[in-house]
Amino acid sequence: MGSRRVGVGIRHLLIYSTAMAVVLVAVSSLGAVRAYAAASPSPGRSIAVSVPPDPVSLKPGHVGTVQLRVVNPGLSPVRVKVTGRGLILGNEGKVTIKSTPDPLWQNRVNFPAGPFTIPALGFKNLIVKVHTPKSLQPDLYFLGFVVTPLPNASTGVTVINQIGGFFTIDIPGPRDRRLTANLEFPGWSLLGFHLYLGSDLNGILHIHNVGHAAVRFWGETDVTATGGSPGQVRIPISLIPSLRARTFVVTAKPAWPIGFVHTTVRIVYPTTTETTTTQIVFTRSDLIINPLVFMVLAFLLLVAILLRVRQRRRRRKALPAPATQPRSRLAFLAGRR
Amino acid sequence: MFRTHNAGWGSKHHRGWSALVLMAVVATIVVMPLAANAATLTNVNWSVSNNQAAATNVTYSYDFKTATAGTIKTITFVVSGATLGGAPAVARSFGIPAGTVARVGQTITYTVTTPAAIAAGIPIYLEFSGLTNTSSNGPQNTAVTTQTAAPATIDGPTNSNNVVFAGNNTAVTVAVAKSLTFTVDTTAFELDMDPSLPALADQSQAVGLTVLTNANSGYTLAINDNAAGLISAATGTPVIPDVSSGKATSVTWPATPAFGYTVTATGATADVAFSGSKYAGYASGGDQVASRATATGATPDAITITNRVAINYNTQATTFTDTVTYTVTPNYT
Repeated sequence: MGSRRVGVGIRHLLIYSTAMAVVLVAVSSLGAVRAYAAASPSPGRSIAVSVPPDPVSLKPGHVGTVQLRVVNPGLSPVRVKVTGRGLILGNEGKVTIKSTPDPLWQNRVNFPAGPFTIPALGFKNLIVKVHTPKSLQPDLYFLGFVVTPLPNASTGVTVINQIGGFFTIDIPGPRDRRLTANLEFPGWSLLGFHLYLGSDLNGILHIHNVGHAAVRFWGETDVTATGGSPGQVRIPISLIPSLRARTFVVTAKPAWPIGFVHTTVRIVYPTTTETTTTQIVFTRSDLIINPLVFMVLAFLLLVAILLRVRQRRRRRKALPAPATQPRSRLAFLAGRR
Repeated sequence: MFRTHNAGWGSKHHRGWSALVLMAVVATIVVMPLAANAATLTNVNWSVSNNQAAATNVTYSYDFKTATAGTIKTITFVVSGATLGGAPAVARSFGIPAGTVARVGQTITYTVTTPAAIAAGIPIYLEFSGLTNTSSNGPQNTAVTTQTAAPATIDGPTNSNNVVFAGNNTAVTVAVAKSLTFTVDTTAFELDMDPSLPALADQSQAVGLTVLTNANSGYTLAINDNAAGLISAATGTPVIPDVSSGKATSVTWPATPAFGYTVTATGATADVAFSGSKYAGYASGGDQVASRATATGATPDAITITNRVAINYNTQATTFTDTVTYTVTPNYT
């Protein structure tokens, strides 16, 4: 009996195995002609690139080194190569990596020959040698590169996650730093009097570098509001390359729904040397009225009108009917009866 | 007559006293700011970037609050001890107008170029770089004084906290690199397609990207592919055409054979070209598709690129390939 059961089980197993094999063969043959829908993504890849946070000071005609670090936070090794690239520095800090090297630095920046294999959860420090041209004027110079993972051979669409980066070289010396700025606030202005309807006064501060050298500036917004304590909002050190612009939002808030707000915006940056700073200052006073005030006033006015009407009605009811007044229709009818 | 005379005398007498009192009040008001208002600056804090004795290129940071309203022309920082050196530069200044810094002996003087009235209780922060520490070991402090152009003292001198300089200590400098991590969850994909069934003739593959950076101004993500697009090596090098020539001409998905992508993002901002589930074709020159204007912090931004391919019986039966490159670049700060 037992042996018969085992025999049945084996027979079932054989049937299932045969069926599975047929299905597998069918599927694999379909796969070969790509007649079924199945996306086949390959596993992910992670890389990180670190550069020095501050500019590296180098004199013209000198040779210096800059350390880059390529990190592999992933769980499988990654092969990468590092290539020098030109940069386009835009407004608001934007950087675009060109597809070709910067002609100024093409033969003057030596990236280590790769490719390099970065082990899983490992990193590699790469030393970049920089030969600064003798003719360079004192300024900040941005040297671009890309770190590109080398893809494994695959069919279909290959995806590469590449990191563009740059490091900064500071050629020391006096330089031409010049900024201009303009501050735009919403609201109405008449003969120097500013009025704004709203809760917060948000202005836009545009800063333009009109000099020949990059400028690292900082600043602050000081707000004094009627009935409130003075506030200071700092603009952290920011960089503007020559002929580029940056924009900041400046906010002033009154302490009360209606109030005067005195705003001082100050942009500070070094002059030709770092010993002395210069500044651009904007000062203005605004009367800020929260629209809620009008709603509250309208409500109070409505309440006052209603009370007045009610009062009038009550007063009219309380007054005795004048003698000359014609009798009411009911009284007239009652009289007739 | 007497009464009148008396009243007149009394009036004159009172007027005289009033004048005296008024003069006294005015004198008090005039004199007070010079003497009585030389109050103590509050929260005077001094820190140094390196406390090794005689270390060079050190940055000194001072922050304090004004106690008295006044028009500050100079702020002096008298560092105790001896042999303070270096040519200081203004690295940062907040709460005080622009000016010049100079050092003579133990005194660092910050001179405001155009003095302006500064109210009481205003936080002032000044950072001077390029200094050389005193060579003597032991605790030192700085006496901070604000003065008018006269010069008359407004606040101070007020001593800061002590900073201990030593030759046998360990100077700790922690340099945090400017870093960016870029992860892709799919390094290659293959779509097995068949024109006979709509579900097989129009397929998508999402590629998940994550970005982490401490760059204060954020980053940009650009996409580009091979110049030829989704192409086959078969005879005639057939292609599956791009849905558009780039993001500038993004479109809602057409019914015809096409290859394109759309972008959604969390944390970052996807380009408006992809709003309303619009698709664009990959451009070999590259298109910026997402960006962020601040550092990400510890939470990565997630950007999803959904690749979509549609074919019909006009599409040649062969294998098409392309290489898509996603480039993340940190912004300058």
